[in-house]
Amino acid sequence: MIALMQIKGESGSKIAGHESDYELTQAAAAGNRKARRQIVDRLFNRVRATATYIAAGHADAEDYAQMSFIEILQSAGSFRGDSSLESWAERITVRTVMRQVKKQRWRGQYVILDPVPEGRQESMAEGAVANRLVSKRIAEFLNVLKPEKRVAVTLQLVYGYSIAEIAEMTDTSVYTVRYQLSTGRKKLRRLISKDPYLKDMLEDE
Amino acid sequence: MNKMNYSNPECKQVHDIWIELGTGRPLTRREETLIESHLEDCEACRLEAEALDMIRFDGSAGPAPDLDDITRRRRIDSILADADSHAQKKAARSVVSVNPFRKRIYTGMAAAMAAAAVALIAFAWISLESPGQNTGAVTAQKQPDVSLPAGRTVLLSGPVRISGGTAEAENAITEGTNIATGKGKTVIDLGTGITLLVMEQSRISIGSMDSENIDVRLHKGRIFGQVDPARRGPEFSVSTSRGKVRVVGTVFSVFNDDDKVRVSVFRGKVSIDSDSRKPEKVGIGQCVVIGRREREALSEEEKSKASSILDTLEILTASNSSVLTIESMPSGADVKLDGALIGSTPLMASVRPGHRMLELYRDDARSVREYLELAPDSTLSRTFDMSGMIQPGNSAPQSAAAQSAAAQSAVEKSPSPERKHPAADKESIRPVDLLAKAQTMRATRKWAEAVEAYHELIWRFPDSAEARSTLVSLGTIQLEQMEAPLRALEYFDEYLSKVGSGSLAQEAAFGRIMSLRKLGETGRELESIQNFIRDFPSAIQIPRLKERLKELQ
Repeated sequence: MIALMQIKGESGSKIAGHESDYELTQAAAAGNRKARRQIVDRLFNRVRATATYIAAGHADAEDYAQMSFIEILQSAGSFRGDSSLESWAERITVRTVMRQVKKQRWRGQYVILDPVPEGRQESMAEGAVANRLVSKRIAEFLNVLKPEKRVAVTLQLVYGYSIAEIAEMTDTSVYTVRYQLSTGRKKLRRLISKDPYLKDMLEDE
Repeated sequence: MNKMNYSNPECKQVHDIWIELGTGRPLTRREETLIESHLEDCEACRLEAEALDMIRFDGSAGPAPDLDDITRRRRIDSILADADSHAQKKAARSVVSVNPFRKRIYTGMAAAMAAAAVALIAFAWISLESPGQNTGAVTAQKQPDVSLPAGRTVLLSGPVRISGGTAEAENAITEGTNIATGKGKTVIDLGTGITLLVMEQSRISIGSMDSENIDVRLHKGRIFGQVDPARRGPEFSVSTSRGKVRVVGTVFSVFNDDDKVRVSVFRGKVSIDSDSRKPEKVGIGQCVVIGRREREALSEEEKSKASSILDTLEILTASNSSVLTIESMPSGADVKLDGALIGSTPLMASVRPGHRMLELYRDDARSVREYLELAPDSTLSRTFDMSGMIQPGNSAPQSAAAQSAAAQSAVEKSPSPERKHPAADKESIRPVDLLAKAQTMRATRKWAEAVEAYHELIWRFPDSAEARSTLVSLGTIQLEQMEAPLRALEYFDEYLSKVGSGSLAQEAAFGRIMSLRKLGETGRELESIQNFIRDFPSAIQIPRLKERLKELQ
């Protein structure tokens, strides 16, 4: 539970290895295929997850992830190494996907949840499976939020970015981010508290 | 400002602290104590904290669909190829952008010639550049090599002739190969994500098959094609006497009955080139006769048939397959694998390995059923004596012992497949064990294995609660992971008809809506949404379904 209250910058994991990240991106920018593949492989899950969260499970989320990767590879030469490769790539992904999301009228796409069989919640609510079920459920709830709020809440809750970092990543002020987080999370809380599935899963765990 | 009313002022205080933590400042001792004591007392906040703690990025793809290793690798290849392609375009643009500058130095033709020369040099340079070399700020590399496609038969049902001879299992298909099906039918895998079912009384030939283009000529009869939309490789087309059907990624059929050529599209879209009309696109749910203007909607019968064929194609594979040879006396019995009708005896099929339920029918009466475990790269033969064993209207399956007595089986290659009967080890295996196995496969993104485990559960314990719930799981996997909305719809419908108002009814009903949406069945989708809103008025999906309802109306 305490993990909820920590922000990623404090953990130190994000800071390590920037020099090697710099070398990696420079090699990729120079056309080294191995380096390019290594970057895509390393960021693959993160970029897909971010694109899907921000695009709210939109059918084109995979395409948005692909666009983000192309942007990342094309911009590899501009990575200066003053942040981790992950947060740099995340910033590009957020901008790329938001650009696409703003282009179209929001239609509301859905993520179908893994069902919990009757009377078997306890056997399923273990480890990775339970995490996955809860993640998908919360992703459903995040889809209800407006894109700007969803981005702020996702960046804070899923990736542990600070308000200042989110403001920088999304080109907004810290006040705006604070407002988006406050209202977004309140709505999220309301949805969580009213959801019987989530309650079952968490209580059975 | 706050639309949300907290049941307790302390809740708001805790909530505000959580938001403020985003500034990066650490918790004070007072705040820490407040949160800890509050979470002990307040169920809503505890639930929120626990739930949100579980969504922290853990290296997985989060809400994005899980990908198996092969798909992941393909996706990465595709990203890198796209990035290369973008870089090449950028390089080409930079070459073209030289023109205005040159114009200031040279004039007229001289400038154009200079630009052309630069473009030619750049083109040659791009072509010769080997992968991995440093090419400066803009990387221009060759597109990944596309190896020559190779095809082979993955199903032979009844008599089929290939290039004048009798077809054999896994017959090679190359440029110039002729296939005549007569009373039989065959499925050919042309590699690079193209699978074709050549129906009875049809004749095709492979016009070209190289790294640029695969062209299948349909001289007579009907073919049904499934082309992976994510495939990369040669262009694919089907040529007929009336025109050419260009295919990108879709499920379609082409029927040439001499008088006319009819094209039906079940997924995606195709483009038709004909002499009499300009190129035209045919989209999902439409069929068109080449050369005519009118378009028709696909009939329910055609859709149902397509669904059944897709089920068949899903079981067949050209790699690591288990080659199954099924014969019966007399021949002509319908053969089903995992409930999908794949043909009639004598039959040879290259099947995905794993647990499979084999059924043979004659005259619509179930006559033989056997549970198979098929190992990769193995061969299995079965011959069933079905003479005189069918009683009209008798649908009871034979016992395993009776089947074994009737069957002459020969395993030609190790590892040895094992035959089992559902009752054989029912005591040692429980439904919950099979469910756990399926869930493990699912959690590790092994979708095909998960589906098999779910099928095994349904097969062994058809009356258990787990088997009923499994229908919804299967529907979800088919819909989300296997891009098979028709099959998903069948599972959801089966759950709803069997269980009705079970605890998963809401999920099943929602899955049904999503399946119909993917199928483009807007009329049925609309009706299902209305029913959903009526039956589950407080469901979380309601706001978005209402929005969708407005769109549909």
